[in-house]
This record gives sequence, structure tokens and C-alpha cells, in this order.
Amino acid sequence: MFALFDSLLPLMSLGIAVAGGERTDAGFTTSNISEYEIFTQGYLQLPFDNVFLRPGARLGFGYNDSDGPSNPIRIFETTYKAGAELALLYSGIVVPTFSIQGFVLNRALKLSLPDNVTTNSNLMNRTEWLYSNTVSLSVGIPVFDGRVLIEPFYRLVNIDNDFRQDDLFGCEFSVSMNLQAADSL
Amino acid sequence: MKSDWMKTLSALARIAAGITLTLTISCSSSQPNFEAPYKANVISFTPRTSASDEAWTIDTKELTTLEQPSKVQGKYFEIVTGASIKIDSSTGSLTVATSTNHDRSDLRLENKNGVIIARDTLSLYALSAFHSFEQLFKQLIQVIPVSGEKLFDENGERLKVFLEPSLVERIELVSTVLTPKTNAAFNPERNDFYLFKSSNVEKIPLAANYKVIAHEFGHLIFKKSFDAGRMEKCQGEGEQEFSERKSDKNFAGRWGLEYSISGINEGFADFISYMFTRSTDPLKDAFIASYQGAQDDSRSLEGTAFTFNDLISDEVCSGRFYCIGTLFARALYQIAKNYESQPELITQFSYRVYATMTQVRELFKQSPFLDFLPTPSDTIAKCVRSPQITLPYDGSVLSAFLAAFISAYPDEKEKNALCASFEQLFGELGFKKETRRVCTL
Repeated sequence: MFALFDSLLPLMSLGIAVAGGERTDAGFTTSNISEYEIFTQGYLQLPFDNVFLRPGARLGFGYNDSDGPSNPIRIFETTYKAGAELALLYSGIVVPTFSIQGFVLNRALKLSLPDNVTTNSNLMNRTEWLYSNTVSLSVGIPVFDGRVLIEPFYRLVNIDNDFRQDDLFGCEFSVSMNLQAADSL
Repeated sequence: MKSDWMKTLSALARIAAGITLTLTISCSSSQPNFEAPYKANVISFTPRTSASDEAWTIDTKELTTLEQPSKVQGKYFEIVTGASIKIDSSTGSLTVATSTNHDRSDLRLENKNGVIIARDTLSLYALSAFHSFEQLFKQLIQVIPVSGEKLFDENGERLKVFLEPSLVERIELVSTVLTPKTNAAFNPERNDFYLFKSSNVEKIPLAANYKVIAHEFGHLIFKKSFDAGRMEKCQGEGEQEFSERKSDKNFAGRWGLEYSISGINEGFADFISYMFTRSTDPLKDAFIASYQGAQDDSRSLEGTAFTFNDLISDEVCSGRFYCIGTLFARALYQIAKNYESQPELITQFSYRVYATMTQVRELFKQSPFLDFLPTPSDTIAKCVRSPQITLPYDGSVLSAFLAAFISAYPDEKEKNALCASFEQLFGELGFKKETRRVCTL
């Protein structure tokens, strides 16, 4: 473990998150989005009983739903992201958590054309950089003596220059990397 | 111990500051700047020529009448997204409520090397629909003797094109939200165009399909010519109003309800679409092959032959009043195709068709056409649209229309050709013998 983490974090965890949501464009067209993340988090006890700060880092990717190859002309998106977060949680029978996250997004836009449409322009296949900030509410359920935390969450989403998405629902699964410390959680 | 906590809090503060910076950067971003003259990547249609077939491409096109890119608002028309169209079935009235969330009405666009690029599908459709309407305004003078600017001036305000609107139908006290798909429409009451949500059966989204948009534009031209630009509504449910309508063959709102005239309206719109696009089928290549309508050529001006007599059943053509329209459009096309390689001549032909259409309603008020017209059916006199063909009633309305059209037609040679086509396509049911005497006058 890196020295910085040694000094700051008495306990670390690794985990994955899966999430889904719906977004609405400037009309009424909705599409489903799916997101997947891996993350690492550190737990730091505050001078209050059972109250922890939990900084963390995340990597993830997401995409809009595929309607199949027979669709009309469409733009498909795949988004990769990296970000940091800070959470405040209370460790009880369950673990209610409030957290904020900041992400940098790299989104690939790909124009999908049917067989009777051609283009000489490559301008529409491109990538764009975006920023995002989110606020999450979750309730963790510790299992295996707290070594594993199952954490359903609701996340309010704000993506720079992309109003289409408001929120996400998902669930995180994290495993403690310090089993002794996990017992104390 | 206390010192450790100070270190910890200091580190946390730095992390929080980093997140705050991210939030600040993200909140300060805005739409990119675009500079006129605007160019955009759009779905573009290229008409067929003697050397090549029609083609669809994604191309960079200049949008010369675009004024506000993020709202796709132009000098003559605007593309409106996020609108709810409210239909009150009890009164038949339509109202439009645009989205109250204005942030969401802005399309998501990007400036790439001076070209406006859509960042999502709806924005691409919006830019493409704008390009289509702009092309129609520019080419209008080649189809009817009215320039796009004049057409606009008479209306006094921008035409509205509602892209993927939701429909809220109110029947008595119950409201139902509808999300129509795979269609486009023109609302003659408000001069609005509706381009509905696309679906998986479409290859070229109808909302950005130049041929389909040209067809809807044809309805606007039909209103301007046949209806003299006025929208008449059939109103009044009382016994007295019913009696008055029964005794008035030209009562206000009749022609919008008549099955045959609805068909003529559709056929005229297909003819106008052909004049703009040189495509004989506005729906050709629009759908995937497995879609049930994809192989149906009954709408095509060169499709499987049928006549008005065949419309008693829907085996040959199942498109209801559209089938009547196809027959009318095919008769016009028989003449138009002779001029295809001569732009001036085909424009002059189109002008003659338009000029003729402007005179039909006046002729309906005069003998012998007034006599040709049947007394309004009870259904029509109750201001109810005919749901299906009723022979010989609809044949009589159609005969009166065709007779008036031929009578007003200014070119003798083409008049004879039209007579021959009408006789062949509409037979004695749709072009009755007693009305055909206009062909020999």
C-alpha cells in the first residue's frame, strides 16, 4: 500500500458498481443508459462514534442502449470516466451514506448509418471531454462480518453540456482490503 | 493524536477543493459559438438524374436562413422540440404547449472546424429537418408560381415544425398522452408541421426524410391552392345547422371531411413531393425490408396498376383514401415524366396544375359542376369525416372534382391526356359518364 494511504486510511476497500438510468433528449425521446464502475475507497473514522469519512476514486464506462442494427440513422455513445469522491457515512446495522463525486468523462460518438446512406464526412465520429458532478445517497448492508458491503444507491447526476440525464440507480459491491479493520467497522 | 487529525483534515480539505474545482468548471460551460453563414452536417437527399439514382448522404450543407443554431430557428420557420400538442376531441381543436423547461429546448450542438455538428440523434434530425424545409422554400418557385418568401409573408410569422412532439388527447375529462411514431403530418388549422418520433422500422428517419417532408409541404400548397389558403371548419351540431348543410353543397368545412377530396389532397401532396424530389415514391427506401409496408408499391407513381373500381375491396390498395390520391397523382405523373429532362417545361406544367387547383372550388359553385356534386351525405352534414369509401357517393364527389379540374385546365393537349388518364384510372364509378362531357368541350 502507498504511504499516503497508510497515513490517511486505516482501511481500504475495492469494489464494483452497476447502474442504470434513463435520459430524455430535447424532445420526449428517452433512452436507457448502463454504467459500470470499479472503485477503491478508504475509511477514516471521525471523532464521533461510528461516523466515517470515505474518500475514493472511480473508473467507469457507460453506453446508451442499442436499438439494434435496423435502426434509422443514429448517434451512439460510449463514455469512459474517471473521478474522485468523498463520502460521509454512519456505521450501524446498516450504513447510510452521503457522498459527492466529480468525474472527467471521455465520450466517443459514433454515427450509425443504414446501408442506403453514405457519408464522406468523418466529423460526426469523434470524442468529446465532459465534466460531471454527482451526489449519491446509499444504504450499505454489511455482510460477512462487514468484509463485504452491498450498497444500493441513488445518484443525482449533473453532466456539463448534457442535460439529458438526471439520475442513476445502482448497486455497489465492495470488499474490505484490511480484514482486521473490517471487523471494527 | 491531535496532530494526526489536523493532517487528515488538511488532506481531506484538499480533496474537497479538487472536487469543488471540478464542479465549478462543469457549471461554467455553455453552448459553443457559431458564426454565420452557418454550415451543418445534415441528412441530405440527392434527386435521381439520368446518370444516377437518388441517394442519401450525410453532408455538410450551408443553412442560409438559419438565425439561431441552438434553437434551430430560421428566418421563415423554426424546428420546435419538447412540445406537447393538446387535442380536444370534443371540440376538434388543437392547442400547442411548448416545453416549459427552456434549457431542455436547446439542441446539443458542437462547432467543429466551422461546421455545426449534432451531439445527439435528435439534434441531427433537427438540423436535417431544417435543411429539408430550407430546400423546399428555395425550390418552391420551381414548383408553384409563388416564392418561399411570399408564401411566408402571407402567414406573417415563422412556420413551426414540431419535432417529435407528444400528443395529449383530451376526451371529456380524461387526458391521454400519446407518443406517435413513424409518421409526419400537416395541421391546416395552424399551418404547423409535425414530425413524429422515429422507430426501428425506419431506415431514413421520417422526421429528416426530404421526400416525406416535401409531401407534407404539398398539403400546405393544397391548402393554398384548393382552399385558397383558408381553413374552414364544419361547426354546429343543431338540427337547423344540419338542415342548412344538407341544402348547401358548398357548406363551410365540407371539403375537409369528404373522403374523395382527402384522397385528392394526398395525391396532390405526392405530386408536389415528386416535383421537389423527382422521386416517384415518397416512401421508397424509407423502411427496413422486413417492415410490412416496405414492399408495398401502391403509393408509387409507377407501382402496380389499379383503378378506382378496385377500391371496393382493399386487396389491391389498402391505403384507403390515399389510393384515390395515388390515382390522381399517377394521372399527373403521366404528363410530368415527359418533361423530366426539361426543367423549364416541367416547372410550367407544375404551374398549370397549381393554377387549375386554385379554380376548382369556384367552379363547384357554378353549373354544371354544382349539379355534378351530390347532396352532402348525412355523415358529412353532421360534420363527421367519412371513415371509409361509400360508392357511388364518393365517386360522384370525385367525378365533380375531376370534371372541374379538367374544365379549368389551360392546356388543350395536356387536357386531352388528363381526360384519357382519368377515364382509364377512375373508370365510370370515379369519373362518371355525364361529367366526362367536359373533355369534349
